Amino acid sequence: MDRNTTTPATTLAAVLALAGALFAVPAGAHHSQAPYFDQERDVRIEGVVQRFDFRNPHPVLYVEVPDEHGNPQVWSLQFASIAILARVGIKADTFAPGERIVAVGHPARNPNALGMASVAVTKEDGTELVDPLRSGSFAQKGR
Amino acid sequence: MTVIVRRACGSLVAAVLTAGAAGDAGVAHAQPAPVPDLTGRWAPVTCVPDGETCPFVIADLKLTRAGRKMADAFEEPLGPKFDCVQATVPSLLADPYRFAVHQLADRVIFEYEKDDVVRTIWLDGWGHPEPGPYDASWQGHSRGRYEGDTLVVVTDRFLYDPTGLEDLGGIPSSTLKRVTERYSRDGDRLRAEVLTEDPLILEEPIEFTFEWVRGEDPLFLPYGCELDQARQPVQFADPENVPNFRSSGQSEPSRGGVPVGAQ
Repeated sequence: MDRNTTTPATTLAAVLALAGALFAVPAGAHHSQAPYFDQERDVRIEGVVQRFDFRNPHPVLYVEVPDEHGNPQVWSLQFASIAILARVGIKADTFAPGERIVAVGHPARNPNALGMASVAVTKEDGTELVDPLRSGSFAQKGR
Repeated sequence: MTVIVRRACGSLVAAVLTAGAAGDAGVAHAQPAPVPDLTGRWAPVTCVPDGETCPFVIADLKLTRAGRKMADAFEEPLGPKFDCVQATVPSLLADPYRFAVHQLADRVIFEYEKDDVVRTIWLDGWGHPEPGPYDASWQGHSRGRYEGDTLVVVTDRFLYDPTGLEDLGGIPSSTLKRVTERYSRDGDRLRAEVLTEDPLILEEPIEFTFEWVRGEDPLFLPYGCELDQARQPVQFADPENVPNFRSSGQSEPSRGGVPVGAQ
């Protein structure tokens, strides 16, 4: 799956997109994540949710992903702040431990860190949840 | 002394002061006057006119020699934001968060979702004490006045802030930072013209204009920044190439994951 691949469109995704548009700030404004995540590239992972650490300034979704040898590794998926996620319907219980997800996002610049930001997460039922930082409906300056 | 703020229909607020017959003699107070109604909750739109360079292009800032040297020496992990230190004006204003304005007779309170910041603007004419020599503070001292339909806020007496002009890239502000905000309303839009001066850091002042739209939803508070969570992103910077705004941003590919487009 790449970022241009059509994913199952759901009503929720449409609602989220609309909500984001209501708070549209041009993507050309600020991207505070640029020092930490490569905004020019995307990577894709598939794995199982460990937990969603829903705390400010940036909630983190921890996902267990097998490496090329099948050994489990834990990825950290960074999201926008709670206030911004709330406006597009992403809440503390949006991701449950044990559920399988596919995520696409900008990878960490640190070659020894397993992380991504500005993510689009697809659940097994096809629901796609897009961090507003990725959709460009918010520009995140600061943390 | 009793201070009453009466909300009038339409766009004006009348501040009514009822002073005791005795006791306040000789104290100069502001005369009741119509002021613009800015009270409400406001959601960010963008910089005017098009937001393309909102609020400014960092690389185009004309920095003093000292300002340039400090920005060059800055590395992202030095940012106070990674320890839940609040954002300040002017960068606070261009963040994509909502805020509320509360207009009282003698002051205006700005309440932000971002970082739980609350600013008090002390209105002229009420005898509010000026800050003393030792009263510099992180958010500075804000005083305000109404000029027709515009609320003018002047803030100074800041502490030195390594990211006080821009947190992305570490453009600092000195203790001479002075920010002038001019708020006016056009229907459901609130506009602020913002002028930032800092002769120790900026060769010339920065100006930008930002707009918000009126909203009814309550603010999402508290922000509740948590210290261990705040510094978490630093681990994802390339330790061999910790960037500042002049860096190319190039780094080796990170490990793991499937590069999108490689399939």
